[in-house]
Amino acid sequence: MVVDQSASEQDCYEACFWDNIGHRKLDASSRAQCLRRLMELFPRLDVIQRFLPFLGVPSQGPKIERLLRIGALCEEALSNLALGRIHERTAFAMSFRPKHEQQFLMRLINESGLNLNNASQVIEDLIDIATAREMEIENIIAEFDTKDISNPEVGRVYDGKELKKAVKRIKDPEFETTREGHEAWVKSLNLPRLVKITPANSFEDKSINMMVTFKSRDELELGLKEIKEIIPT
Amino acid sequence: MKFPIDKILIDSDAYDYDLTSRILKEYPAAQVMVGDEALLELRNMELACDPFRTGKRTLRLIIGKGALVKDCPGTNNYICCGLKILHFGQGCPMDCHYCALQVYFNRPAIELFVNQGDIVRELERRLESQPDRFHRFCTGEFADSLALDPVTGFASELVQVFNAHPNASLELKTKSDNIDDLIGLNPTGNIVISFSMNSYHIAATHEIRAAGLKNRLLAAKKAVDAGYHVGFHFDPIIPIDDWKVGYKRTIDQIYNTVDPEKIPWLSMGVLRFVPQLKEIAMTRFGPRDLFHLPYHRGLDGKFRIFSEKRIEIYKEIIDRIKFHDPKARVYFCMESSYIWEKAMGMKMDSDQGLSDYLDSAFIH
Repeated sequence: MVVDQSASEQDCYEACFWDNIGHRKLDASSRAQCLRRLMELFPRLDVIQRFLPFLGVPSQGPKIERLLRIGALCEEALSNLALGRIHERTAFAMSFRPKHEQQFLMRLINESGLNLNNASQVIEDLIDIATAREMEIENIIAEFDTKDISNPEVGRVYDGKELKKAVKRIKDPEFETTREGHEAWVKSLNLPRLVKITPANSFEDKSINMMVTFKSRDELELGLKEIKEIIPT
Repeated sequence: MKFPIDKILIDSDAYDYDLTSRILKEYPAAQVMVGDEALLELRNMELACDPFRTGKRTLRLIIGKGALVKDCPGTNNYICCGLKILHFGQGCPMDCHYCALQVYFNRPAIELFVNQGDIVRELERRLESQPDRFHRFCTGEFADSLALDPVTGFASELVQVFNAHPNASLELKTKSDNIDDLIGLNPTGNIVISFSMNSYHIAATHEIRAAGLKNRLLAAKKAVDAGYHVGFHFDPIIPIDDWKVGYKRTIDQIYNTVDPEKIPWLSMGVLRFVPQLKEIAMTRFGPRDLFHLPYHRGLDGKFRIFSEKRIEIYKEIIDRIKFHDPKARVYFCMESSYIWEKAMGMKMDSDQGLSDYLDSAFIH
């Protein structure tokens, strides 16, 4: 593409936009940065009417504002979002935290080896704790006993699994105690492999579901007969 | 208090109604747009970065079509009181941070149905077709019953209708103190003016443009003096910032202000919300502590606080209410039978059971 020296920044960006948008599929991070830049260069209504349909962003609802916030995240967060290491929802939640905390969270995630869902969960939980208790995220992590969230055997600074557990315990200790108690109880039952026991959603009541997979109708009928003997109704 | 309105958008077929003329007189300085111009303006509002902000000062006058008397939609797997709703419009000039309307609506303006006569006719038809049973009604499925009453006069009209129908009760639920127009209507005892209550901290920090708690209580006293019953709804209860002290103080003030005999019911519901609300509210207001408590998905997919914690919260509040009035008829809005039993010690297994429990306030 040849650009006239006298072309304005606005014209140049628009030319680049049309040159790229037809054959590139933008990831969430690039889309957010592109939208942010467009909003800086053009009037809002102009961006909504001319560019949004090509970015695949709806003109109504909170999506525009969400992407604008995401577009202003620290580089590490934008890069992790582009690589699919954090969800867009998580990136948005991070946008309300200061830059140094965003960078800290990205280091934490990279050093703990958590997958996409778990990494996003840990970040969101930490942001919830920090916001509700008006704390700095680094101070929450500093409260952990290092040996509880690190494991030299996994070869990383943090043991992701333990980190996730520790954060959940801080966020909602009563719920975690109940969940851990339930898991320990299920374990103590020594269930056959094809039997699964689950509590009500989030322990909303005391009901328990048991799912049994049978290999055949005959086996199911046999099992049903025994269940009917125990629970006649 | 009359809420400020800057713009009035009128559908072409809603222009010739009496209510439209009355509203235009009430807001002589408002910018008025009719028909296509109004629709275009609405479309432009929807494209703004926070459509609700301008929407809270914009009235859209339309003709209500479809069912104008509805059942409360309730929520799956939780017990609902089975209230019937007189649907007079949707949207609210107040702007509470936790308001669910932010998720449910994509149209930002406050919509009012100008064909109020049709609502009254549908209501009367229903009451007259089932004269042998008791009916509990409220107004506003997605609206405050009294916020716009100084300009619509709808509540006063309804009071007169219900005065003639002792087989039904009307509940007007509000966070405003707009009850002056209801004074002097000689209510027959089946009208309940209900106030949404909270701790002072929540009301002051999260209920934007709502009447202050003191003013709500003064309005409740005025309502009782004028012959009405009053109800109180602690919904949403939000357990932050020394909540025990906060809710206790509010309960004490209710009973210092109003005779318990005049309170047919009080309800409670700990904050629950669809997951999208957190993001929408964060976009509009920035991070707010109330959305960052430990929530878990409930049986209906909404975020709720852990059930055992809710039980603790409810017990605390019920204890204080019962301290003042051991006979108080307290109920939960959208809770499970498990919570009913654990927090209240009552077996409540069905919507009908709760409906009967509330009807008993009027059927002796």
